[in-house]
Amino acid sequence: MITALPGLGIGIGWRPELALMIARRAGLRFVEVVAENIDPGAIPLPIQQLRERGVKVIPHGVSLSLGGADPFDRDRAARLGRLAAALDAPFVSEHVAFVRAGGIESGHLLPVPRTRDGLDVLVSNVAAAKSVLPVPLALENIATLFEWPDPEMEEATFLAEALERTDTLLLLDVSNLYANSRNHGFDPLSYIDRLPLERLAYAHIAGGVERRGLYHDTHADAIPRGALDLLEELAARVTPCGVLLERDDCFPPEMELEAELDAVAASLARGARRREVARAS
Amino acid sequence: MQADPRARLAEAQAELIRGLVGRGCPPAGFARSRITAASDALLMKRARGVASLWPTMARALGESFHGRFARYAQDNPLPQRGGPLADGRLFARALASAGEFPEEARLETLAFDARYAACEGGFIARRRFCIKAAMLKHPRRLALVMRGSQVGERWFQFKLPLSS
Repeated sequence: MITALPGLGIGIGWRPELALMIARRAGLRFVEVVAENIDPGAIPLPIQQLRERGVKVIPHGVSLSLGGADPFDRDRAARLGRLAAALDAPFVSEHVAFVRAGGIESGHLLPVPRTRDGLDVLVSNVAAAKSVLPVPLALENIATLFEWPDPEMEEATFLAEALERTDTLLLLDVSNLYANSRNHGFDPLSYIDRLPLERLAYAHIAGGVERRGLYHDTHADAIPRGALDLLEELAARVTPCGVLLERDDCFPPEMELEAELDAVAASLARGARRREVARAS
Repeated sequence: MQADPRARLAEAQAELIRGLVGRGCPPAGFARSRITAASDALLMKRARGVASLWPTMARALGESFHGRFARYAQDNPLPQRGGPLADGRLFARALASAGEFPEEARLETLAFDARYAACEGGFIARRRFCIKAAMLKHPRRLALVMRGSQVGERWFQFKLPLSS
């Protein structure tokens, strides 16, 4: 399955505020769009132009609520599928999270309880989504400031079991992993080692900030050193098909974003070198 | 308490969301300070989303924006359809009901009303021709917008004589 994925290189989350910078970026091979912001019947011109250049566009959903116990919304999944078809996307991605319950939208990705029941609901919803989607699905780990009480398993185990039971791809967000390892006190390297990395489709990386002793994955600040180090550790274990930089707010000057993309490339290169050395020895 | 595990989880998730958006007590068993931090982050995200899509209204409200938005958000959950754009329109409506809507943002709401119609759960893009108008002050004028597939979107403003 993984060998069929295209080599994507380092990409950027497409945002209208970054459209010009992205259009100017030579050698760009993929971007990701927030699926809910794009009408499958009216793809914005800048994205059509990227497609004409051969840039892959990955639809990234934020509202399927795959971890939600409310009845699964097939219409939302179908819309994501239509967008994937319209963009000729190699796969789509969504989150191990829920965003609505009791008729209320949270407006943000919330964690699924790490219990057998939570896992069963997630697996059931993912199976329903896959039955509607025309392309493979990658599941992303989320950052959360709080945890459900009485978890039955660790986050890495929950994610690994979800991936295996649903036979889906993995979108590993190293910044979310960094955030959770800091806020909940676990070893991020053990987490990475627990995952079925042969399922890795691509990785996310983004910035954040510490406020009052908690790390917030804001997508509006510089990428922390710790997240870049985790990306290197990931690359030392497996070659990701792609790495995507997410920036959603407080957009910096182009030079600053370019510097961040260079830092991402450098972390990947260091990890790849370590992997070569380990293989040779 | 529900017997079916999925139904039990649905209840628990509903209780958590209600606690996070301030429509119920934080559920038992969660670390209180973490729920508070998450709740604050949710509100900030919601407010930033509205401010970025309603910049004139946000600028006009200035420092009072966050406090007024927090009060609106307390009583009004996120609309199910339309995202921050719809959320901002409903916030504007709430401000207007309280006599607190800033005059400078009238054109911003007029533009929205020409493009979106209210529907169950929020707003949806208009498909049919429509005309919307609003009386503006300083100077007194009538702003009119017409929108449709044939005409595109056209704006007119007519100065009005001072009322005698």
